[in-house]
Amino acid sequence: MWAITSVSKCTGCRTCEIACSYHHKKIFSPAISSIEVGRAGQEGKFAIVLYEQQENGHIACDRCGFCLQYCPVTARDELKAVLGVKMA
Amino acid sequence: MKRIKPYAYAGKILRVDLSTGAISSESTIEYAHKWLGGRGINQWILYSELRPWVTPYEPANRLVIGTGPLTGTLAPGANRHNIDSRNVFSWGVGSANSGGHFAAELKFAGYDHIVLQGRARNPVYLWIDDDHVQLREAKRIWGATTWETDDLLKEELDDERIQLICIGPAGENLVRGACIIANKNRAAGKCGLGAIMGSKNLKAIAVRGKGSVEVAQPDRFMRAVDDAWKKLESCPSIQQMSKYGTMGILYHKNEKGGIPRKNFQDNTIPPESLKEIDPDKFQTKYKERDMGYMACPVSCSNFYRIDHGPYAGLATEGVELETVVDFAARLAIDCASVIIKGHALCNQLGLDLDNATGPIAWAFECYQRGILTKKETDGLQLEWGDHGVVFELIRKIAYREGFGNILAEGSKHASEIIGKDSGYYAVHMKGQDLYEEVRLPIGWGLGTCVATRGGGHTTGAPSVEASAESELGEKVYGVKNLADPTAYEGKPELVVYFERQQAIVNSLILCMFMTNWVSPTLLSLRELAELYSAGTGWETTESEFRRTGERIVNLEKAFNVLHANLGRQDDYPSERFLKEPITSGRFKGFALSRDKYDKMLDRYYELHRWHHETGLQTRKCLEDLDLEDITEDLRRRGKLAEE
Repeated sequence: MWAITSVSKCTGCRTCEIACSYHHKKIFSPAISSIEVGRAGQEGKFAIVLYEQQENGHIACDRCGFCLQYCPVTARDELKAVLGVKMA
Repeated sequence: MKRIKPYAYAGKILRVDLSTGAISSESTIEYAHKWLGGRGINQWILYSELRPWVTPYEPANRLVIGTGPLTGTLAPGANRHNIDSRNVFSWGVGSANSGGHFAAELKFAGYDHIVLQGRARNPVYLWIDDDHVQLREAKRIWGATTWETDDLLKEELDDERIQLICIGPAGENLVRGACIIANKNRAAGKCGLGAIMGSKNLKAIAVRGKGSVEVAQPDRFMRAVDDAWKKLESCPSIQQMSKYGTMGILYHKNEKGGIPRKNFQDNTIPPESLKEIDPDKFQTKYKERDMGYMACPVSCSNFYRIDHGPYAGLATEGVELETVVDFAARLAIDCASVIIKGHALCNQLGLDLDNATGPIAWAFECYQRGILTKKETDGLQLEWGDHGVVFELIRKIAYREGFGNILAEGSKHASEIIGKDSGYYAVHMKGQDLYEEVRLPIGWGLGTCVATRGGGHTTGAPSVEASAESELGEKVYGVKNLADPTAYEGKPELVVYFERQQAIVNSLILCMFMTNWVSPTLLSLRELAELYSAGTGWETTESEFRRTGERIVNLEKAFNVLHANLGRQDDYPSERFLKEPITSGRFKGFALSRDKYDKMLDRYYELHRWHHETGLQTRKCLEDLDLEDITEDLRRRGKLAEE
């Protein structure tokens, strides 16, 4: 199960993906992340995919908010809302 | 049990022979201790495997793509790849890098570098899907623009998350200014690397990696990462860059007369034109969002969408200061939407913006002076500011059509074809079109002129002269006269400092905007050494990094001497800069002194421990850097300095 959310501030940098894998396993690997940033239909539009359960090697999101620390300042509040966590 | 895969590195170098189709790999570690990664390892592979008689487009030439030990981690800005080969302008060092998602994906697939040699019989692309590597037919995408190629390959491989680098028509047609594009708009622009890729019949490299990057001491590594991110987020220069991108310094540069208006005839953009290309205009009318790539805390790239006028519907990323300067200054096109269109056009065709607009600006000035007429220009009237003509010439260059076939050689070679004193107006460094003012600031000019790859401000030119942080800067860089952009003294020291540092930055490899190149408060080699030590588990100090940087600079210097016979005469600015004073801006009337430049060059060579007059390398310097092989090569060719 996963949730997809279109976002307007996300820069598409995908830093959250490697922050997430570091949180889970202390390695940098988008393949196991609970979060993914993808293109949303057209160029310059992004969507966030959140794995809510373990799936295809992706670990379920535990809403830890670790990725928020490395999200660009301008997009951080938006990611916080997607995750539904309190900001650290 | 001994760990086979090293920390931080992926551990393997992929080798592909396009002539035979042979694919193999070797260990990165053989190279890593001495040459670090990225530019360092790439350049050593070229030096050790190429012979001077191999020309750029021959199958025997290599095209080497490198990531670095920090790539794919949270180290800020570590999302770049460096590409190296013989330079199609000078035949010496060719080196360029770009950001994007390609580098990290390559690491996740298990490779630090790719070494390409040979030439495919028919157009191909390289597909790296973790351990499965294959050459695939590219007939369907040959001729496609870089944007089409990106879309077509994602469709063909049925995966939105593949990352790729590719060439456009310019690379296929061996245009000297052809670049290699990642993520549709990130260009490894200089040195004609796209043409070399085209000469190998290689349209693209697509990669998908599902592995990981692991660091030796995770907690220590993350402490260094967090310290670095904090520094960056609190730096005012970085905050400005986050908002405007590099375009944010347009007014600053213009006020100082650092603008090459109408092919270097003037030094500023006039106020009425400046209003039309104000960075705030790009922000309010066209900017849709900030964009960035993996581990980037800055997001200096902007995404623009044009929703009205002749280019309505165009959406593109990454219009840089250089784009604005190329079109608005060099070609006098003072219209924001046209500049966005020109930027997209060059990226689609796979043409480096600077190397496309350089020869065009040269042609416009020659036309203005009557050296060129409609007879030579396929009937086109080259009137300053006519963007229709500029775009037509960009297209003609990419397809080598008519007059475009001459411009596709770059302004130096084009002027040799045209003759008639046109060479004076061809402003280049080591044969490659120069895109920036080099008379001032003095250190910036020196760094640009001595750059091994032929111009450019990314290998040694300092950006910190005359900044508000000069006092702190003098302490951090250990130099004097930082506040005075017209002072010659202290500038060779500054350039040498940055040459060695940038060699490390391009080898680790991360974005130079993360470093004290931007502000003395940002990352120095000390912080980078800490990231590297914690990442790899190999304890390394700032001074060891400085020595490795010096080794890389010496390697490139020797390559230029042995492969391109470059010497002291090639470290001077174009004649125009030594004859004409600055015409406008705060330093109006300033003239570069040949005598003082001479002395500055002597001092620069001395600091490198090269012969102060000839600039040739000395045995002592090379042997101190463990470069005995290079010493012997230079000695045999009579290019080792007499001591």
